[in-house]
Amino acid sequence: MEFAMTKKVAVPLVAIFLLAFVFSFGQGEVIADTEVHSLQQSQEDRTTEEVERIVPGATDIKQAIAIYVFLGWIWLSIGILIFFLRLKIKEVDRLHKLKYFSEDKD
Amino acid sequence: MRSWLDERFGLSSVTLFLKNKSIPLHKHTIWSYTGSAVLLFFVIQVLTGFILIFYYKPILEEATASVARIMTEVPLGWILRSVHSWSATFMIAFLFVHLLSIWINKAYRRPREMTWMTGVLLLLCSLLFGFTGYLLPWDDLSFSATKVGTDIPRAIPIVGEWATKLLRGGEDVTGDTLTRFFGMHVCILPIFLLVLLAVHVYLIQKLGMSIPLEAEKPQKKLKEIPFWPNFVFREAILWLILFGVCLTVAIFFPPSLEKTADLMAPAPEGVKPEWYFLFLFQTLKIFPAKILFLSGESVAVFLILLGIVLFFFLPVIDNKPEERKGKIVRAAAYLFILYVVILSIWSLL
Repeated sequence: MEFAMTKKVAVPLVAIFLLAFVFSFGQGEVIADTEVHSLQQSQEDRTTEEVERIVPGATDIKQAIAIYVFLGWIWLSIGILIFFLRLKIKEVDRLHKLKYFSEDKD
Repeated sequence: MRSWLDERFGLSSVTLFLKNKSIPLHKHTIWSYTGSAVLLFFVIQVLTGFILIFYYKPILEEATASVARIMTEVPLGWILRSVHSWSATFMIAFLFVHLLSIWINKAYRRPREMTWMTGVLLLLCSLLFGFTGYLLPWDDLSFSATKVGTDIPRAIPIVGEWATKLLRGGEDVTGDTLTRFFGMHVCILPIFLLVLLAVHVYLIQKLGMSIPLEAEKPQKKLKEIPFWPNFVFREAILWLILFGVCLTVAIFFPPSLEKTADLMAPAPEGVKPEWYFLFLFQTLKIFPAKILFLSGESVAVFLILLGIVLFFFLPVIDNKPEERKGKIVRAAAYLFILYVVILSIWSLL
């Protein structure tokens, strides 16, 4: 019963959260940029070209923030999923203790 | 839909099996989660590998440039490559923890010998994955490390020369080596790994989870929980956290790409293999050039191979785990951990 109530609240909450996630993800430009200038040349040039050292990562503050927001959403969604999983674990453990699915439950 | 699938695939028998399968609860249960963590990182690697393979070009002239393109032009490419690389690191770390926990808890004892042996083969397969994948960017560092790594088998008498040539596809590390390593990384090793994994998982399902030696006494009855859903939900929490940690580390510490390897240039100073090979690398270094009339390197390689064979046959060697011999084998596990840590740190200094 208690779990059923939680489920009623949980479903709209998850739906809202997912919508917000998708929306915010579309706003960000989580695209890594460059330190390599040579890569803008033609395909033919690339085949013989020496590549210099590349240190990946965001090149400006806008990209960096987009990546941090993305990571923030990931951790938030992990936190919410863990919260619901803990509820589920409590419930299945309770049913197991009651031998709800067992054949010799009486 | 469920009944439609059930009618065709007989899924209800699988669900019933999983529901009836139980996990014993004891103070060492925590180690049971390491196996599924390895599986999680393997899945992450397969998925990221699928995307990386669309962009990577395994030929000498294009390899570094194609990795550079992944890192600079492909949307989220540098994160993808970083996740692929970090999940390999996490997978091997968890594999070591998983095998060492089994060694210390003696979970390999009868009738689980084959489960251990397939596990050791999976570890070797994963190390080969790491070794072959390391060369693929074809930059200075990976080229030199592969040169050193593929030179090691040369020290084995009779077959050494042949083994090195087989690995390299010739006398030296060239474009042929790159193509060969790529083939091994994306085709040969995955087939081996999937077959071994299937056998390993089947054996775990068939024989069930091991319990500690002290809990085997008849008067002790352990608490148990069903595998599905009680244990799987607990595992799912760990998977979520590990996924988050892997992604975070991948974003904050992405692997860089050095300049394109020069076949004619001398090896740069301080070339080191991946962290999981450091203790082996240092072992080779501490041996003198000559031991009596034998080459020091040959002796070191022989001892390493002997160690791998002993590790593989551990359940056969430790056939009386509750007796004195069993205690010595457990002490050997702690000594091995100490040895690996000390030599790895030494190698980094």
